[in-house]
Amino acid sequence: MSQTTSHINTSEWVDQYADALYAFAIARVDDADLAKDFVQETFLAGIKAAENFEGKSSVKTWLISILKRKIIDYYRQKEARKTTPLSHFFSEKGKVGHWLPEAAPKGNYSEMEEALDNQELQQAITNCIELLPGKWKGIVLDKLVEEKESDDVCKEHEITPSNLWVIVHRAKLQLRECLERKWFKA
Amino acid sequence: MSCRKASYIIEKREVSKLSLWEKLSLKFHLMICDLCRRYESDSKILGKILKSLHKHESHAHLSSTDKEEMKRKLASF
Repeated sequence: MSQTTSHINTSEWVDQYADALYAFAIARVDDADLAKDFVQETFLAGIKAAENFEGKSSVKTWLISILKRKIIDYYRQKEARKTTPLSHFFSEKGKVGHWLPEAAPKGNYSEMEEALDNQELQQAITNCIELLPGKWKGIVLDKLVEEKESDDVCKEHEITPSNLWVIVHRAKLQLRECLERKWFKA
Repeated sequence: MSCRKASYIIEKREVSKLSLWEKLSLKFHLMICDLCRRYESDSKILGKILKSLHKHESHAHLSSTDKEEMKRKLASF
């Protein structure tokens, strides 16, 4: 099969490869619209990068590799978005490192203390944990829920003690705010 | 000390030993910072809430759909 890259017939591309790309994408993102967008973007990227295509693999394989990259990036970004930056909680101008008014703790958790067995509270905190980045979730469950030894948690998750302190700090900041939002809004 | 650092030391204290310097500077910061005292109080109760999940096993773990999704994502690359 001779593939010319200088004059791409884009509609031919769509006819030949759209289904295969779509099938690949839908199997990985499980969302029809999102999968369609991926296919579209892959074609666009393919057209732009066509001159770099060396013909070492088939066009299909090459397009799939572009699509794969896009899906990996998508999940990476999605995961990164679950991390609330410290600048959301603490000021970076003026009194650097001080609580920002919107994020400052209200000290109103004491009323939750009596509701420890409350199912809604359990559900709310569980939901908040699920919103954390994947890597943090396991660490929060092991260290803060099951109270495993810090050394064991570090070993199991292949992190250093200072990684653990940072993650616990960041996770607690996010959980505190998340639970406050869920609990006191209702 | 900044509140950012103070909240970090408050959390570090929950999982590790503090140095003498950390203890003293946190103590001093809490004396003068109402917001971090609130954070400390909220954080302790949040800690209790998290621990209480362990007693309620059915809620203490990730949903199986979550885990399946993770497996699927991992397997597909």
